[in-house]
Amino acid sequence: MKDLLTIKNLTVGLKKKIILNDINLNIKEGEVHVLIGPNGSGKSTLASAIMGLSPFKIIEGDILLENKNITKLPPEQRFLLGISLVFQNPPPIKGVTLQELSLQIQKKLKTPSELIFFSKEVENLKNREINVGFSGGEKKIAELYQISLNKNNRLIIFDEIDSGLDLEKTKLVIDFVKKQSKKNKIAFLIITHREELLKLLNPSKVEVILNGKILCSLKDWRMVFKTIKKYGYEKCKTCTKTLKYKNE
Amino acid sequence: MSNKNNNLYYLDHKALNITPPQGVEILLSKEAYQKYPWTKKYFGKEPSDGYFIWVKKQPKVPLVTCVALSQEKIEQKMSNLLVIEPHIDAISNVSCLALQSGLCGKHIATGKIILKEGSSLKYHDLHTWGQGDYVEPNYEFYLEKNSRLEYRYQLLKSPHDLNINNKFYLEDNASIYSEVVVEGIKSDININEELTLKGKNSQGALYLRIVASKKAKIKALSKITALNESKGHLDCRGLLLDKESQIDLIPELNNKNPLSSLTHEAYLGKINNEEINYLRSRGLTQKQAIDLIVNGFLHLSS
Repeated sequence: MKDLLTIKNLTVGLKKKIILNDINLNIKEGEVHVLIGPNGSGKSTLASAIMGLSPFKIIEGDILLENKNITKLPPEQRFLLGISLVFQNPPPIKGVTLQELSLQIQKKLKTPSELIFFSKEVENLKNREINVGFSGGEKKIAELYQISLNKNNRLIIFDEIDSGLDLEKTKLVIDFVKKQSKKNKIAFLIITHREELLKLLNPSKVEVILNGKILCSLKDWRMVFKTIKKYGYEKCKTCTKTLKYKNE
Repeated sequence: MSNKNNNLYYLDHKALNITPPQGVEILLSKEAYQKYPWTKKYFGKEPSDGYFIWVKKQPKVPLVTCVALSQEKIEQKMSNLLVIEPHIDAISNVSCLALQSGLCGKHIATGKIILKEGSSLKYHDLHTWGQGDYVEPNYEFYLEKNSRLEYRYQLLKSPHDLNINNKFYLEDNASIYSEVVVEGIKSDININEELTLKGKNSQGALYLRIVASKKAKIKALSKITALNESKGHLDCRGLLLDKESQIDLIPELNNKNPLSSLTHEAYLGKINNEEINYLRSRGLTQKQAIDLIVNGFLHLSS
């Protein structure tokens, strides 16, 4: 399969502090990658850097989407090229309804997406201000609905795939991921802490990030989880069996 | 703007069109002053410019009024009076504008709006000015017993100077909802709102939304005084779009009756970068994201 997202030696900083250090990552089309790591390890920062969000500054390295260098592109252009990010904690936007934003998104894309997700569930939310007073589940539904409007989707990043969703809806999301990765060759980068989700997802690879570095990228996610469960993330620093990015 | 769509079209110093709907009388203020001596107590001295609208019977359609400036350095000094008779529900859509930018005109309007017992008025005022204009609306609203006022003011294009002075006086069981929405660009704006709850069980809410950009300086004083058992609420919010602009919000509550309840909320800040990021990640440019956030901020629904 073709390379979809390639990150080469990416170093990202925030106010003189290095947050991501020499990150390398390769995601092929249709692959489902899971990114795990302890709190503050750099998972959400990596998602933001791929999306091109401020205030993070790229100090070194490149981000390529289908061999096109997008390192300097603003987030809106990355979205139009097919990168979508599902936020963990989307901000409330007072006075702007979900319907208004959806229309703006559709206007930017010119032609509508054929694949609208959670279209029924979102009906009750459309006339409400975006994320204002939304429950955790409602936020997630609104997020998934918005990103499914992107007909150009090539890579979807989920920052915490299941937060706020009940089991039934989580399964719907997982079905969506599985179908779209197979049928439309959309790739997914999923941040999660939950092993049971991996069982359902059966990802192509799992990446472990620690202190802003990806230490491991393996197909055998079961082994990675087992190791972390038994020894904790610190083990990843010394583990010879699995680790170091070039392993695969 | 076509004058045919208006019940009153007032250009510079002349009324070009007066076509009142049934049940409504519209005159020039100086004519009303002569014809109806009772208006003298409202006008004070004899007016030279301005209009008088008397809603005597229930109108079937909203009143549409337009006041415009068309000449360079014109100075309009309007003295206006609107009277709604008891138990009548009226709607008044007012637009005040400069027909061209760069006229450097002056529009000063002093007016009284009288809502008699049990009447109601929805008063919507839209202002569109040129960058060099000076604008000063000074209005007093008198709400008699059981009357209701919904007042909405929106500034669509800001002048060089804008001084808004609104005073609301409420008798027993009268109520008011007021919203003032101002986006100041390169302007010097002063807003002075005063609500006096004179009557028992009177109540009022003043909402203020202000956005300042491109060296705009905006000062807003909103004050509620409760003289009787009553309820009042102030909600003032300001958004600064750049470092060169300035907003001063001064909410003031003055409670002179222990049985009344006055509350206020105030917010003054800049646009949250997280919100801009979020919208950009959905394909909007930075400018489109800011416009959407600002429109949302200025949008008030009731």
